[in-house]
Amino acid sequence: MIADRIYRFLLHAYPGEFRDEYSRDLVQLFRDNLRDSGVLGTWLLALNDLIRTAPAQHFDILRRDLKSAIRYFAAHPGFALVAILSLALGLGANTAIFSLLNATLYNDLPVRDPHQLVSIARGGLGDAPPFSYPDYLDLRAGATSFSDLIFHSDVYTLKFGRGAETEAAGSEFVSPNYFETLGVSAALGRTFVTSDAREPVVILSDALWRRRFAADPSVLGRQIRVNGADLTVIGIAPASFHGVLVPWSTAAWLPIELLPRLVEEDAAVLTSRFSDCCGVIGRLKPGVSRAQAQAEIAVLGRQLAAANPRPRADRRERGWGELHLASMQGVVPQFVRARMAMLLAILMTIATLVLLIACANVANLLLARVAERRAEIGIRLAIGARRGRLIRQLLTECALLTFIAAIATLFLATQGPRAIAAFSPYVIDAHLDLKVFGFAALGAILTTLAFGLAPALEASRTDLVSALKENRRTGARAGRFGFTSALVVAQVAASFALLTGAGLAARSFWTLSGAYPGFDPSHAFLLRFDLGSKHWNAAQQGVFLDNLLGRVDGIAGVRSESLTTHAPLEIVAQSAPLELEDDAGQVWLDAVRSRYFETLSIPMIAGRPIEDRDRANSALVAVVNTTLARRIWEGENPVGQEIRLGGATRTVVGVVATVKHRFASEEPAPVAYIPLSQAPATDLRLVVRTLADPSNVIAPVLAEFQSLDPDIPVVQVQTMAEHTAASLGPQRSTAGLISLFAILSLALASVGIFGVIAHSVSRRTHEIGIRMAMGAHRRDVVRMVVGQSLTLATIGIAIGALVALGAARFLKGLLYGIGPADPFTFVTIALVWFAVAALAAWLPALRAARVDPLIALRCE
Amino acid sequence: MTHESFLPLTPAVFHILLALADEDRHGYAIMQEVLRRAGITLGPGTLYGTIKRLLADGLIAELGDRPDPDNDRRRYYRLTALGRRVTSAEARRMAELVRVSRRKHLLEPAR
Repeated sequence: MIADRIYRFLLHAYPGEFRDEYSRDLVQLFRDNLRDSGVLGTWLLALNDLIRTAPAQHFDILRRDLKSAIRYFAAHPGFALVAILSLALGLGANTAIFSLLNATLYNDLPVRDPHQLVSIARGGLGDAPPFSYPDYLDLRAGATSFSDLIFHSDVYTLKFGRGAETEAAGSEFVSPNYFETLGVSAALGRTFVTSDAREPVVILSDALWRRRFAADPSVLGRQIRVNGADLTVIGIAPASFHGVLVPWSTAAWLPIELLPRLVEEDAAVLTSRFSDCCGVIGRLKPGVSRAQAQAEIAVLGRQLAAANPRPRADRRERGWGELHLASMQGVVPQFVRARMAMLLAILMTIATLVLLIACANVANLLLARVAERRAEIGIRLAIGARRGRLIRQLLTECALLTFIAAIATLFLATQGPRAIAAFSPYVIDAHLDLKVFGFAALGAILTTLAFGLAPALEASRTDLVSALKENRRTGARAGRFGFTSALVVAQVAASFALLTGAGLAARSFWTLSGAYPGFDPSHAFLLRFDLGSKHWNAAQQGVFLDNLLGRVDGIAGVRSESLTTHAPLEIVAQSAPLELEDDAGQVWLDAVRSRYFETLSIPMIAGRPIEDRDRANSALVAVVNTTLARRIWEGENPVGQEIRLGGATRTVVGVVATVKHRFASEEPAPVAYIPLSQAPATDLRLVVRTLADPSNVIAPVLAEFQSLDPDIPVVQVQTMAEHTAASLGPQRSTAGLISLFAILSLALASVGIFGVIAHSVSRRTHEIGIRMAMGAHRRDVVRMVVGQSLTLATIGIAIGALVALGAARFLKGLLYGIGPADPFTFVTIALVWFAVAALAAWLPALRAARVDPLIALRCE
Repeated sequence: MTHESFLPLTPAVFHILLALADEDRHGYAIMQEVLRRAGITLGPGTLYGTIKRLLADGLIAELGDRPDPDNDRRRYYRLTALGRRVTSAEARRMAELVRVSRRKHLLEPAR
């Protein structure tokens, strides 16, 4: 009967066990009903009943399986602990990295309706913020698609506080409608209103408020010193809000019209049509589509360009009038996002490898367990249990392991990113959201299948007769050990590849930190200060600096001292266009005082250094480094040549050695040094070479500085050794993170190899007993067991080395001073792995050697 | 486990036990008895899901020898001694409830 057959098919909704027991009766009942109650009534009843009772039956089985799993784990706590720990570490590493990835790449700004926000971009431009203030005012007046347009500056480093208490922190200058349009209200106090446009007021970020003012609410209404001006604190931003330039953090927000007052060199910034200091963000009016806004903004852009033609010399002219809407992520320069994405992608790959190693571990543990439970499984099969039912039970056990591990994972996923973010110069607001949660859940399911399916299938393949006949110790078939070994080999290979990656990164870091930066960082220190708030003219400033250098020179323990606008290994540096007859380019430009090269021990190659006789009104001169000299005057003597730098012609008076200019791993960079007196600046570094330990001289120098003028903000004081070490921060954290994961993989894989060898020994007790009865020595047994481990390790290392060589080119960007196939790293890691493999086999080997042949043979 | 710990019984369980109280029956017979006496239609899954649990709890047992030789493909069930005690305990519990309801004048004929 067809109805019968349909009903019989529908019964598959029930668990197999229930079906086996009752499907005949259920179908019989269905038939009886059909006969007595008619077609419609029977079907209604049957379907309704099926939907209600099938889940209950499944749940019942789940409950029983969980109960037995818990009993099993309680009886084997060591196994459960190792399995859960492996999984938690593997899953936790992945979830933590994903949550970072999620926070940096996909998180919306914590503002009202973030999807209504668009950034307005200009065609043909790279990362530079594309709008001038007059542009913005015209756009705001003309555009009708937006409920409002915001103007925000790039991050400016401002000096908060005075004297030695000064802190430099990145801040945004913004139009007064900034907070209101974003829909961010103050956590304390108020945000800007239109009348604040010119007022000396400031809104602090939560972080700055906590750091500098210990979260004291009474700071509201108080005046604080910012770049020498007194500003009134009117509000504190919410803790979740870091500005629109995330992942760059903003410490404070100031009205845009304060920009020319606080930042000296940008005095004309708001009036010039061509001072493209800032970005424009719009909030679309409700009901206005992106396409409409895009069309309108394109027209406005062409009008702007037509009304304000750019000077021809402006190389960015191309595409100037082409305005378009961009996503808010466009506010952050592409290179920042790309760099973070690459690093996170590498970390994600590594974390996935670690998880796979963990899975292989647990799979191996489970396979060993399956071998031990073979007799139990055989009996259950013999009394009629279905294979599917057994697979289900084993997978339930696996799911329970993963579930417990996942709870630990969520802890790692909240704490891990915070720890990693602490390394990062960027704001990463990682938190658990649905995406992270979903990722962890999906990861847990895939993980369960990855490590659970093979053992479960293996278990259910148990052959009834042999399982019951076999002794538990010799229970495994020969083929199974092959699979287990393959898993271990894969673990060793993955771990080896990871370790070499970590080794390469670590060695790069050591090479970098050991590499001579071109100047002598020992016995020297650096004091960064800012004269901007003094509003001195060049002459007044010169007097102060002469005075300062004279006083510092008199302090005991000081050997020499000088001033510069940029110290070596500072990532932010000034560059100037270099004009050559047949070439153009950028050259880094440092303005220095006399004795600069002497103070940093930068060798003079030819000519003379910058000296006191180079004054504002004397001939314009420059000292070039060897890299620049080679580039322009290859084979000629540069001294006496002329060079056009930033619009001025200078005579080269000397050549110095090339130092690491901005970071340790850079290619030699062309640098020109010019007299500070010929290019006055306010953001300066006092560099001091000392006779002995520089830390003893810092305090007297600082005291002298304060006595000269207690008001000048001292932004930073550190020894050159500290400064050099700090410049390696990114490399250190990269190498550290990769090493952390690699060591984790080593630990997991060594547990794996230990487990397999130990299990194999316990299974081969009988065989070992026979060998010893036949005259084998203990030494031979130990050698045999350790040899087995080393064989697995060797195969794993060989495969791992191939993988590492294949993958190393992705690491190239992180390497310095060594090739991706660095033999030292590979050999060292291989030796480490051999040692680990031998060690992991040692305990099982000793146990094997203690086998008493009599007992081993009798226990059969 | 005392028989008290099974109480109160779900309606499906109680009806099935009641159906088996006077006679050993097969599934369909139980279903019809419940329908006839209580007007409740037990679905197949509900019936056998409950039977499975009652078997596991030892309240009913499957008959080895079939009372009806014509129908030997069907499985017959009988109340165990424990099942009988549980059923009568549930019946007493209900009787007590009826007594209370009567005292509170809840059982007077509807006006």
